[in-house]
Amino acid sequence: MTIDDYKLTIFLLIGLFFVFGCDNAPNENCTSVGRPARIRPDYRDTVIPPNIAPLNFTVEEPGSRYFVRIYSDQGNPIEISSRTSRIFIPQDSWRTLLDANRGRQFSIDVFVKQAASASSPDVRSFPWQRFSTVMAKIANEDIDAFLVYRKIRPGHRLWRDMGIYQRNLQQFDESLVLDNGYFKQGCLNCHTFCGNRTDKMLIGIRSVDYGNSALLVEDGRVSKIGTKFGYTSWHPSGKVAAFSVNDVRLFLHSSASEIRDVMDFDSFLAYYLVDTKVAKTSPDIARKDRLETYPAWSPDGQYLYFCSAERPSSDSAAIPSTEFTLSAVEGLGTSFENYSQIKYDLVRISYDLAHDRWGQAETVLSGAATGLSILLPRVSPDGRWLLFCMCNYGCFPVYQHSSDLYMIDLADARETGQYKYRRLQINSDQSESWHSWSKNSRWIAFSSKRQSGAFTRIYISYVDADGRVYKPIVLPQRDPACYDWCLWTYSLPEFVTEPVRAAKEKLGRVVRSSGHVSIEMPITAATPKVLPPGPKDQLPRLGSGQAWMGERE
Amino acid sequence: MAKGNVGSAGIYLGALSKTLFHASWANQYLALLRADPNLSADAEVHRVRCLSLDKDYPTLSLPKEKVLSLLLEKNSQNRMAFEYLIAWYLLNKQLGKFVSNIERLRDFGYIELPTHYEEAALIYVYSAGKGVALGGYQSSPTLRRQIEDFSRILRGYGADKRAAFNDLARNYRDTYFFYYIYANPGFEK
Repeated sequence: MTIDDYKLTIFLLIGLFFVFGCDNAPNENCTSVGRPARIRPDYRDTVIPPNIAPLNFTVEEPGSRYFVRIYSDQGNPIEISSRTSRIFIPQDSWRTLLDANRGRQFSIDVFVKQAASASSPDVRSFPWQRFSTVMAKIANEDIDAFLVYRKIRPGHRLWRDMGIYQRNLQQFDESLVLDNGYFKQGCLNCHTFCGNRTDKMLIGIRSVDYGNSALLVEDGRVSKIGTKFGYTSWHPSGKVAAFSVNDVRLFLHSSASEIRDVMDFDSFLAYYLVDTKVAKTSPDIARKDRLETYPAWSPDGQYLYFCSAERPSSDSAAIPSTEFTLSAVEGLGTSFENYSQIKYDLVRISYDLAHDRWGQAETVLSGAATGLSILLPRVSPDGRWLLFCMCNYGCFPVYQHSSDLYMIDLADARETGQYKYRRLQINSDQSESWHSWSKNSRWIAFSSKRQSGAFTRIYISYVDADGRVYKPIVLPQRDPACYDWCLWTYSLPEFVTEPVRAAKEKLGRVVRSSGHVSIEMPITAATPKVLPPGPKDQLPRLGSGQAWMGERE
Repeated sequence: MAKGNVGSAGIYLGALSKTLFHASWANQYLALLRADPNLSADAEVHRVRCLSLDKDYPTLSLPKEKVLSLLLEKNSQNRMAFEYLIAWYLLNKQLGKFVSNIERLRDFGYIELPTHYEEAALIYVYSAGKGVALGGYQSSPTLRRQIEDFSRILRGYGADKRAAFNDLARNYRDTYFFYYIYANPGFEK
């Protein structure tokens, strides 16, 4: 090519830019639509973390060209032009904008150019439509950098793939902590961290091939405890982990929007002393006439909160494991037909770590008083708020659309002696559950089925100093439409301030290894029936595979 | 879709729309869901809704006979439920219940008894030792000869099932007579 040829090429490119390129941004001649554009996920009036990954979204307005301007008081606006309705926000600009505008409003202006039609094939002549500004707020306080959750398909009794994953909330990176491919498609769940850190964590494992166990990670060392812990909570000292042992059964509804349901036929709480490698229980957390579950320590370690319900039958061992109907169960004298009457109370019990001594259990809030079953208590790390959920009955809120989030102001309770609860405004008409707190007590993550009724997704809400909880955002993904076809359910979101560093290969190796820490646990039923000789709070041995049946979200 | 859970249906259809072979079907239903979320005009969805149970019967497992009976109670024209129920009775050798349902076969268009049904009915008739109405169905002379021959061979071994096995298997291993004598379903009542 000669110099003249180059000049001609550049001239033609500039000409093409003016003919076609200018059409990518709106000018002053916009028509105003007079309402905000429909965007999904919906970020209008939310409060977002200043360190969150870009909130990519889809504009749900028909059009052939899209233009979005995101701006706040400080810094340059982010402008995105797109021929599709999916808006991908550049990560660096997004981070700069958010960081410069902590505590301020930010705005999203959406412009759409009408799609071409047979009668008007040339869209360049169409004016841009300008929608009303979408407003949201950037919080001052960071969110914990990582979120650990489990992904499983919304199955019924059987499963194949499941895994625990960690997500860097400042980007879109998701990495595997451990999946069941490392131990022949067994089950793993109940990942639990001490103080939002990952240097001390537990993962529950069920495996026909390698036995039930709890993986204990301590400062990079991984050991295998020879029994599975149920719902688990770390004492803030890191020296004690309280856990539940549940004889849980999945049952089915023949006609309901959610046909799966769960009932604990028996359960109790125990605790594991890390230094001495001993599991123990105490009479008030393992009552023969009660079902105890969902332990949660207060951040000062002085109280263990948990849920407790009257045990429906004294003879669960008489229930056959083969098929039967309600009438058959009635014939056996059990109370399965009253499953919908079981309501859990919220209870707490004091604990003296120095002397390994328990106080007396006291009811914080009763199911009889609320008319609902109280489940999953979680105290904010600053000790101020007690977040829990309530549903119509039973022990498993994920399968009940009635499950909503509630909160108690513990500071107010200390002053007044009354535990006043309130239903949060962020609830939907579907199930909300599996909530957790960020280290700074300003963010909660929870699982919700609000999108579809079947698939749990993770949502994040801001909690201000007065306990007001703001409209949540769904866990952002690089593809803003991914939740439209994603067949994973996301459960047990747990905030951590650092990534899990234990390698998945190492965790898998320890699961498969024969060596483990032996601890003594009950024999068959969860609630101890006959204590063996020895110290009264020492537990008898648990048969492998007895405590859990089926798999749940 | 049949339960009206549009959100979940949309996600499953969304996943199917990304597959090679089911994309067009899924996209068609996604468009239908957008136009008519209740899918009230869709014949297949309407058919499934007519067959579904309205009342909730919580169970710890799936009691087949109970569930199939409830489905038939809801919709007596549920052919699949009826045939599974009959199969359940035959598998479990519950011939009394089978015979008491034989008349209903006409409701489902059976002009004559299928061979294994007829064999099961003959066992019941011969065991009862008296005439039993088979809902107007006639048993074939061939099958009557077969059951008599089957009984003769078995009697020839002094009703010793184990000893008669090879002889009976030679001609009758594909009959319900043989199943009735030798099979152990493992889940009979």
